[in-house]
Amino acid sequence: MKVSINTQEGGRDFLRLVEAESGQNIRECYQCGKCSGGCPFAQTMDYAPNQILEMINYGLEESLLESKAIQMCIGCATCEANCPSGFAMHEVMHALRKLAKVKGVATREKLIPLFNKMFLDTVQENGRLHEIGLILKFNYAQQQLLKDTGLGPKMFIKGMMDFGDVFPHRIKGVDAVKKIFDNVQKMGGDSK
Amino acid sequence: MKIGYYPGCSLTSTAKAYDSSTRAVCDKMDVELVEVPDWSCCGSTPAHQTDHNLALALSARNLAQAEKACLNKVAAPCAACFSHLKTAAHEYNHDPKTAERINKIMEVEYKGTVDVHNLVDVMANVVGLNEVKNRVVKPLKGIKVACYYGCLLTRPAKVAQFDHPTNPQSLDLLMEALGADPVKWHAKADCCGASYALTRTDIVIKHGGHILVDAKEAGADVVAVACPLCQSNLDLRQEAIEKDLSRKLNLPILYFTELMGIALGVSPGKLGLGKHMVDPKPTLGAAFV
Repeated sequence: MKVSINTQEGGRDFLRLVEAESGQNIRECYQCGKCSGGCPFAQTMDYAPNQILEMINYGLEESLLESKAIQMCIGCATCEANCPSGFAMHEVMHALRKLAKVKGVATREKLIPLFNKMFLDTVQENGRLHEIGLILKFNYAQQQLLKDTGLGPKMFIKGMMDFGDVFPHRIKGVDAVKKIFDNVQKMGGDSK
Repeated sequence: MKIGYYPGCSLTSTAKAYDSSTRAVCDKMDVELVEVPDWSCCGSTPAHQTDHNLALALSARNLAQAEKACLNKVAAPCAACFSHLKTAAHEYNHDPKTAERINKIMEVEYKGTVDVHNLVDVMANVVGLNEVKNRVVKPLKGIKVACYYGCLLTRPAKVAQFDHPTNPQSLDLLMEALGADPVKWHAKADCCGASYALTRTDIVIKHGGHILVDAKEAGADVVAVACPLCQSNLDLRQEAIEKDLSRKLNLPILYFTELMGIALGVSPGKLGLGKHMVDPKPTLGAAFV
């Protein structure tokens, strides 16, 4: 792995940027590691949460923005509940994810952004999530149409799903929801 | 008491038992649920992970719909819906600039008058434990319940403003009021892996195993949940979890409203008790269902 520590004067710029974007004072972290110890997804990450905080201090922007770790954070906020300084590591993850998007950095985690896009597609189209449609489309895109097929019929038999769930339900105000997606995009945000 | 009701997408689809038991229990408690007119998806984790403005606006639209219908309180049974609606309400209360920006995105003037509650909060604190206790007709005597809160019901604490972020008690107290016996266990506020059930099923199986084994070892007969995703990850995936652990668990995962419904004398058919992979009937016994 290529690591370049930014020792230039501008090396602190990234730290300041992440602090401003996340609203968190990263310099308050004293590396106790409780955020990583409690994180339910730390084992799936290429860098643990406490490592990420240190990497921000060293200005390792490129390694961070392309990492899997920043995409894996689901926002359960266990890190914040465990942090002795009381700061919200999940907000830092959120800020890094945003910076990666703004800067157009390709992430090493492909599945979660794809799932998010497909989820938001159904919301944009119908105003509500169409659960069955999303599951089928996602598994199809993964070329794993047979995944969970054992569960589907059982769910029908148990009445957890019925034929009313096969087609999406479109709300009356779907245009108001579409407008939200459009306006976020116009503001330079990322609607998907 | 009249209160706005935001069912959320799952309750109209794979979590119908949570919707029907919520409606039946509220009816018994004289809580009139008024569905938020033409509500839309809160955006859930995908919007939160994608764009802050998008997440806030998708949630705030529902608060604006509630405000327009003169509802000043909205109850959201799903923990994720609750968290996202509450985050929007929190930002409107604390940051006028954000409020203005989100109103511009929605092209709606939302004034920020709506309070958001999760359903455990409604029952334990708005209706009140004593009121619940007074209406119990069939105490859940001898039933050991592991109360599972997961993440978003209590965290982030400054947004949820509900209970302790890692050692919450409200659901335990509510189960006690129903006559049940809540067990002491460690995994009550752990994460189940949520929507990673589709993207990273392996993680959900692992977390589910950890949670269910902890509940089992604490002596629980059933697990009570307040989130459709927690329910499906622990119930729908239980067979796969059992395979992964090479251990039989057979732990029914019930919405807390189903247990409330039994204690309040709602007929089991109205609660949706049959709509789970792990059948709760043998565990609960003929006395209850």
